[in-house]
Amino acid sequence: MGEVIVITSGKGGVGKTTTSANLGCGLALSGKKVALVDADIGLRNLDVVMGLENRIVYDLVDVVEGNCKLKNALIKDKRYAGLYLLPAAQTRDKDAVSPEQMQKLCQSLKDEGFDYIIIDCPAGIEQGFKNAIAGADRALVVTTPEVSAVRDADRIIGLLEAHELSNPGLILNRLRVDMVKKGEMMSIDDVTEILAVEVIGVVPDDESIVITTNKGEPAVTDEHSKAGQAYRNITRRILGEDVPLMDLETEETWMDKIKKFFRRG
Amino acid sequence: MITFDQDPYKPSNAFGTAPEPEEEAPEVALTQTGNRMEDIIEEADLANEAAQQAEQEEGDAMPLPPFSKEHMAYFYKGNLRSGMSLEYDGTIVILGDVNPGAQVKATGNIIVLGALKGVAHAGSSGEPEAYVFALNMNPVQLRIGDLITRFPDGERSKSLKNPEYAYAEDGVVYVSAFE
Repeated sequence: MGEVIVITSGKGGVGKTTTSANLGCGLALSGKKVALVDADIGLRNLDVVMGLENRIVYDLVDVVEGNCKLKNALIKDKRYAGLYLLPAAQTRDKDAVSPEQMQKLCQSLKDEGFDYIIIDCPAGIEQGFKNAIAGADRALVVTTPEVSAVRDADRIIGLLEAHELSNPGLILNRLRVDMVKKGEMMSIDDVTEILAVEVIGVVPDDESIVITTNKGEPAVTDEHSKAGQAYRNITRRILGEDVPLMDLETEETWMDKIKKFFRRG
Repeated sequence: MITFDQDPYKPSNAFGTAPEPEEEAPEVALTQTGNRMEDIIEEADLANEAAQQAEQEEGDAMPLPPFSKEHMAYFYKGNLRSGMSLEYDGTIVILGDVNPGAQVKATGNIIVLGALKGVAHAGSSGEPEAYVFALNMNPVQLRIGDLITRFPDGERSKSLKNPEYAYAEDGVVYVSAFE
């Protein structure tokens, strides 16, 4: 029995694709058979983030239209056993697929024996969003601690509830603890007060994400990356483990200590 | 604990007299652009149907007793999220929060047992006697009857979580603590 998880946000640029890639990788590293599905038809990115762009022959639209078999379109990631990618078409648009077709696709992926099917949802609330959530069993909403992203996440949660995907998990991305402390950024509590959903993970703002994303290697594989650790924790929570939210406090350097000393004085 | 020293079905003097009674079946519209909240609408439809059926069974000889809009309240349980709007011909009671970007519109009063952070319009067909009550009053905009008002710029203190109600008097909207 597979589970279809849709990663969505409403607002663009908050880290849906990065989150999809990292969670897919993390689940595959835990020994699960995972299919990553890029539902962002016309603006595909997931293949680039995964470093698999040059191996695309067939895509999601080809599968839906019956031009090829599902197996032919799935790209096996050689670095991680059990990880497959179903890329989106780049030359078509969101209307090329209907929600019914997506439901069918999710079902056939489940029949293929995948444990987790992760759908990278496009930004917005139009056709692409409706397609992406059509076959989902569970939703994860990604947001950053910005008023605009939180507002869009709120709208998305409402829309998910209307489509019987209630109680989505929230992933708070790009949190900067130093700014929260100064009161310049919304804290976890500020966000949950508005959204009132369960927080499944908090990912700190981390430069290494940019580096790993550009290299086509998800951060989750980097032992030293804080964001990678956060994604590993989220993966374990998805698998049903009870993992406490990690301590995001950055260590004080001796320079900070001196500054603090003078401020006190 | 909120206690009423008067008949709870009658508006207290502080909020003026009740609007003219009407004999219409109540209408509820909970919309979400591009989406229907089907269960809610169905519920409302069922209520309407039941009312119509009762009317038909009793025939024209037995008219329904007249009721004021104040007597009709629509209860909504849950949070109203951005993009949702709740409209009702009568009073709305919300057991939950009204988030920024959400809208509540009632011809009667609006009672939010939670935080009001969106837009509320009480007395939407022009009744200045309507009021808005919230456990945590922090709306983007408040409309009562034909008046539109907004809170002064700058976030209201978060520790301020006392129940408050807003009412209109002589063309000005007042917000005061509920005691």
